[in-house]
Amino acid sequence: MNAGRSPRAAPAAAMAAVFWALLIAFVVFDWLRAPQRNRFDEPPPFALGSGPVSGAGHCAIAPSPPKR
Amino acid sequence: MPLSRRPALVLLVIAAWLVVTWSAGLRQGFTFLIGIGLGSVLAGVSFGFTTGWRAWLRERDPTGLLAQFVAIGVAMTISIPLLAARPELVGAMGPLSVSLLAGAFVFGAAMQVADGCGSGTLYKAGQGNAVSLAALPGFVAGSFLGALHLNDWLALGSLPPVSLPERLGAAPALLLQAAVLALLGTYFWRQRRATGTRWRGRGVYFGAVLLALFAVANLLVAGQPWGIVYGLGLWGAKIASWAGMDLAGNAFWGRAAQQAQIAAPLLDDVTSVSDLGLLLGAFVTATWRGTACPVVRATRAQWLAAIAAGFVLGYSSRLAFGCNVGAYFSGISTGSLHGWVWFAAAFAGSMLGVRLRARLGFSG
Repeated sequence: MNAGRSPRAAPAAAMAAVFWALLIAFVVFDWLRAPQRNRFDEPPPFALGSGPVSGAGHCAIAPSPPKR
Repeated sequence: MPLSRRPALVLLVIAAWLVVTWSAGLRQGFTFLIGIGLGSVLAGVSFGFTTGWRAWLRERDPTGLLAQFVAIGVAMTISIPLLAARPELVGAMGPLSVSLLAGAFVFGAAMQVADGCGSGTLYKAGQGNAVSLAALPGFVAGSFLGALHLNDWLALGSLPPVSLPERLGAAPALLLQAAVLALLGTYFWRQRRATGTRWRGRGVYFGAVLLALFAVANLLVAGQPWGIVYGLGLWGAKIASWAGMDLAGNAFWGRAAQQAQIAAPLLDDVTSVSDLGLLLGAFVTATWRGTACPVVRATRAQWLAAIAAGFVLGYSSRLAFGCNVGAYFSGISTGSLHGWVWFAAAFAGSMLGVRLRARLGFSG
């Protein structure tokens, strides 16, 4: 070990509990803030045959079409 | 674990699925289930992109790499013809840019330090691994900031995305990619010095096939390939906008589609929903097997390194148009040239990362 201090065990169960509590709070807070969804305007259950929802994000998208 | 807890885990999954479906609709509900499946497989067989590369670099054990090639090969055999036949589905097409090279190289190095890539950090956090839990907030912040700065990085030079199926035709592109994967697999197998240092038996290959099938299901349901880091960046963008940061003028987050995503419920975003499902799937699988919250011992320097590496992972993966999932797995399996470039650059970065990991005193 190069760090000069002996390694300590992390309180993993407590960290996991805090993580899940924060994650659930984040999702609930977001849901409460966001505009209510129109249930009659849902996308079809499968994109096959209908396509992705407009504006769906993916890791591969660029800010704007790259210059040629 | 006590058997009595297992029905509770099943009920938890059903309840979570019902909440997502009620809140965001059937498509998101199905995407959530796919995420649960992905997380269960990743945790169930300890499928590791990071560990697979490290096992090769350290011990010349090709098992993990070969399993990755199997997963990509199965996914692309279904996805490329599907994408060619069904224009309503889209692939993971990223530009070829200086940022791709730099981002993938840095990501490859950081994932060895953090002992987790995009999927690895997420499923290990779901399992309750303390290092991944510590790295995840940085990952979220890094993904958000990487996208925020992406336009400046692209100004260093970029070419448009290259879809091999569009350039060559679906069948030639599929054959070409299969041939390259087979050649790489043969090379790694012939150069092996060990097998079974990390995975024994056929479980990891079975897991690879399941991962591929879940990824194809993601394409069919969501209309786009499996991704990880966009969702995490969106979480960061939401937090930043709640804190009063004006993102409307930014080249990435200011686009109409991104502004709509930031305003819309998180559960409307397919990548976020599959990320949440992945976390839950890993949690349930680890708790079911009694392997949740493993004991992790680390020094203060190691904790700091893991947290910093989480940030770097998030930032660099946005520059590279995806992590090991969005770029390497989904890019190659849908025929994007950027997936291959990502693989080469990230593998080179991992060579450096394995040395950094040893220097920081992390175990193999």
